Amino acid sequence: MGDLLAQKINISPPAARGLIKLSIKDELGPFKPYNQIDFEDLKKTFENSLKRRLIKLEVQECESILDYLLDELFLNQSLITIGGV
Amino acid sequence: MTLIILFWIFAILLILFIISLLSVGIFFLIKGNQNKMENLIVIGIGFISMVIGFIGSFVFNLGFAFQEIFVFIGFVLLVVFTNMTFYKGIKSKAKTVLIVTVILGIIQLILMTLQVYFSINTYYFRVTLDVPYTFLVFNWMAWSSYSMYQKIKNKNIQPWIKLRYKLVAFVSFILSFNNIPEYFQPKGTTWGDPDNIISLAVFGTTAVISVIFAIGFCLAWMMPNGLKKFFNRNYQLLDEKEYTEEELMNLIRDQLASRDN
Repeated sequence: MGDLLAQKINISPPAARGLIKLSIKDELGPFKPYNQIDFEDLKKTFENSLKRRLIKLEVQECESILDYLLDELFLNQSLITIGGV
Repeated sequence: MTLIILFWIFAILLILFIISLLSVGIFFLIKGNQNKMENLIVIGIGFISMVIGFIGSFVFNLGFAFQEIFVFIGFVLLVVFTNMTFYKGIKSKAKTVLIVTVILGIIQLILMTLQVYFSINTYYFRVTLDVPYTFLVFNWMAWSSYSMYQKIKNKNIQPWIKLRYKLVAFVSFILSFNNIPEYFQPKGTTWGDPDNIISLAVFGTTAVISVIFAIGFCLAWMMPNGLKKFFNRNYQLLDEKEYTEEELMNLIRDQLASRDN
């Protein structure tokens, strides 16, 4: 997801991954382990805290970028289970 | 003598299948509980349910009707797992597959009841419907896993994850044909009777297919870390610098600004 965000807003992949990690921390708190983050958690993170951070960064077409990320999250949701066990 | 030896080889394979199914079921329950993943708990209960059915039928002679009830629960939960893992919130055929599975399962239970309690011979009709029933449950899982693998095979994802998709797809596809040999089961013969070569061949084919599934599924899900590292040997794991929140936001602002210039 970080790589996709990086391509969309034209920043480096590590920076985009960091931005998503910060958003997860905002949404779920600092103590939730990454291997316990499920599909709903990620969806909520994108819809709320990532959106707020993108607005704060004055990223244009923020809504369409988030729609794209959410579409990708839905399509790739099995990775959370298949890659998380 | 050879047939009796073959019978025991097939019986051992079937025991191996049941033990593997139980192990992977318990593994799913533990991991599901640890990682708070409901879908893993669902498939864990599904596998354990099937094991209860097999043990009840084969070990305690509770009959095929008993087995069929627990297999039905297991099959429905397998489809629920596939739907929860691959299709949550997506427009797909997931609900249709679940409904058809439930209908085919209920038909199996009715036909089994007619045969066991009313002595009505429903064997070939039941087997005819058992083929699409098993085919649907395991092919749905196989298809979901295979189509996802096709999507990610060229992406920058750890190789062991890609392998897990492939293994799940392959062994589920194999098991979806598990009921076809039942067509050839001779009338009035016990399943796997060593005195009847056809019955033994039916038993053997089922045992081999089942054990391929169980071992492949165990390997896919309970893959040891050493094996994961082996499959990842040519893959560069990300080792990223840690930034404070302020540093990271400033870095992104700089990158966004340089993009706009």
